[in-house]
Amino acid sequence: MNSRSQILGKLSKFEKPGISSIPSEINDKTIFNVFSDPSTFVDKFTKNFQALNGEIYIVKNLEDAGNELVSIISSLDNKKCLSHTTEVINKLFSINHTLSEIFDILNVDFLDSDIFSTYEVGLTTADFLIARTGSIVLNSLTAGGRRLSVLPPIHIVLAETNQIIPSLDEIFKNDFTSIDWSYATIISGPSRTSDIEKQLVLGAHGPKRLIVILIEN
Amino acid sequence: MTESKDFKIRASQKAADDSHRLKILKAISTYETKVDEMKSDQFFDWSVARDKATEIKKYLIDNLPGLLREFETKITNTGAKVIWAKDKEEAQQQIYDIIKQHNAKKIVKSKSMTTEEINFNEFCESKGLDVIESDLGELIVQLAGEKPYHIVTPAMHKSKQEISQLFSDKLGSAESDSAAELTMVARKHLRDKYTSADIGVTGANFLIADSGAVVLTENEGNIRLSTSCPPVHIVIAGIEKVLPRLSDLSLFLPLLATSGTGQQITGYNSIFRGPKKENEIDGPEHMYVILLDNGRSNLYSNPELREALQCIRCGACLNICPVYRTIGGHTYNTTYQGPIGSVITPHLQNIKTWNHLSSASSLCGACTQVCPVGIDIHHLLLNNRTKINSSLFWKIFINAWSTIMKRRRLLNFAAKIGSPFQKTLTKFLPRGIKKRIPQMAQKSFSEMWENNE
Repeated sequence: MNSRSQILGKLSKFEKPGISSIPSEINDKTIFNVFSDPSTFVDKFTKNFQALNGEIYIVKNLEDAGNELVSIISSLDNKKCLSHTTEVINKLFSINHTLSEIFDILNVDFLDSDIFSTYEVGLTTADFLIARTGSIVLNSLTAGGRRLSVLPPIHIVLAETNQIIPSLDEIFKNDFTSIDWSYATIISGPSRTSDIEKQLVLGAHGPKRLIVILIEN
Repeated sequence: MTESKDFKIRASQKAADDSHRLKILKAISTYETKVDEMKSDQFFDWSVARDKATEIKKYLIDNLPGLLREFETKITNTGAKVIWAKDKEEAQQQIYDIIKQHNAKKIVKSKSMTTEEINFNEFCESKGLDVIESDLGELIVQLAGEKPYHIVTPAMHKSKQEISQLFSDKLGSAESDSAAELTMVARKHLRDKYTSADIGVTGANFLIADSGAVVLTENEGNIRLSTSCPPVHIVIAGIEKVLPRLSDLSLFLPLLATSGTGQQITGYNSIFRGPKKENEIDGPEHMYVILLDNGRSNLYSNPELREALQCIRCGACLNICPVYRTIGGHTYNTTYQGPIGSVITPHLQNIKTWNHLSSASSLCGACTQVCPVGIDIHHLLLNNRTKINSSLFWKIFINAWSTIMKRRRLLNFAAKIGSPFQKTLTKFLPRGIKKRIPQMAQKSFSEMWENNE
């Protein structure tokens, strides 16, 4: 008899299926301090994201987003930037030629992590922004895989205000989970640690800076 | 010398170590302030959240085998391979088979208590493999040649000065009294380890039955890096880690963060559904999930103890425990320390060797009060204690005692006969320098009550 059937066999002797029905799904409104007024979402997200040491720029349109991005990059010593392609990023690069020159586009040449490691900035889009926790949700299919948002020391997220949701439970109610990604993550601020005498230090292993450029719509 | 005697010696030494106590109190008081703030900031009512989490965990316990099968089917469909391990030795062998199959030399590992349970590092080193701990706290204890001090904060017992000295000795860095500079030393040291590793090894915080997902929570990003760059991802998860639905995370992620570190939600909460897909640019080509029993089914088969499997390893019961605070994490000499560790270790390992831990508690109940998933920890400790003494003498003694205590007249009578002996008896009882056993009163309270005195 293999280990699987031994373990399951032993457990099955003591299980009590059907003794209780499955608990109702979590409704964040009944558990957390959640805000229901959509007009406050941008403010709440901004406040909570900044409290986690995130940097945020709220802009009127894609053109302004491009200008903001150029000015952020111009202040960096290492200007090597990498991006994946999406509809909105393609559009951004088509209207801002400085950016299309600065950015390299992620492709199969980047399978080797050593080349990847030389980049300072990773630019991605996101699926959602969460107002209650100031978090960003993204997945490996729509955000350029797994490394782009964690290996470069600076992660910049291009997002729109209509992507803000009030709380975590909305992620799982959504079509989001039916997309066939292998990896998704909820990001709350830049990489951090308090392992040394409980003192907060940013940039432990992942990005030292997390920047959101939020386009109003 | 037995483990139990050794434990007592270590405990009395640590209890008298003032510098140890200062470091621990400093860390725990920082933690407590943050937890209290976050409980009231984030939740309408902490007890509502806790009750809901307990309800879901109880459902999980009742339905464990079914949910494990569902998880296995769903994650196998994503292309991951599920492997079941009865114990430490079997898990080690299975991992070694994977390592050989992929011809791997370098392993990067994130913080995981299951890997501690199966002595992963020692095993791999004995096979000549290179294992790097990537969590900062774990790296510190690995460099120091120690075991984790705490299930959430492994290097809680190390001061900045000690870490600075350690990094200078082992990594050749300049000494520093800044936590930020020391963290950057570790960042630099580990950076190319992720990109050059052949295998990334992690534990699991949750396994999701309805979507076949593994969920990992962290702050540093080392888990994300270890599961993005290397071509193979191995997960080692306890069989009790299942949650029925992905949507349960919207409660469990904030609950674990608040109880574990006083955060609203941890920095990165990652959901893994198998290896890299064909249309994805990167990620491991292979993913293995090892489901580890290692004594958990013993706990499951005991109706009184099985609720201990509800544990989400947040560490709150360690931090609140007056015994843990006094004797420290290493004194336990176990993978899981503190109150919950004392409950489960005798059943995960060996009851004869480890049941002395059930007496390492004042039964004050603080652990039960803080537990976010409603485990009645101190009663489980009491339950373990009844298993220590099963000799005939003890049974006769405890039965006689309970007969006397339940009958007023017998108790009065026993107290009457006992009183003259008491003075003589106390001379032979072991006692501390400052501890004096008081004289018995001339009249008992019940006599005074009857005489209206």
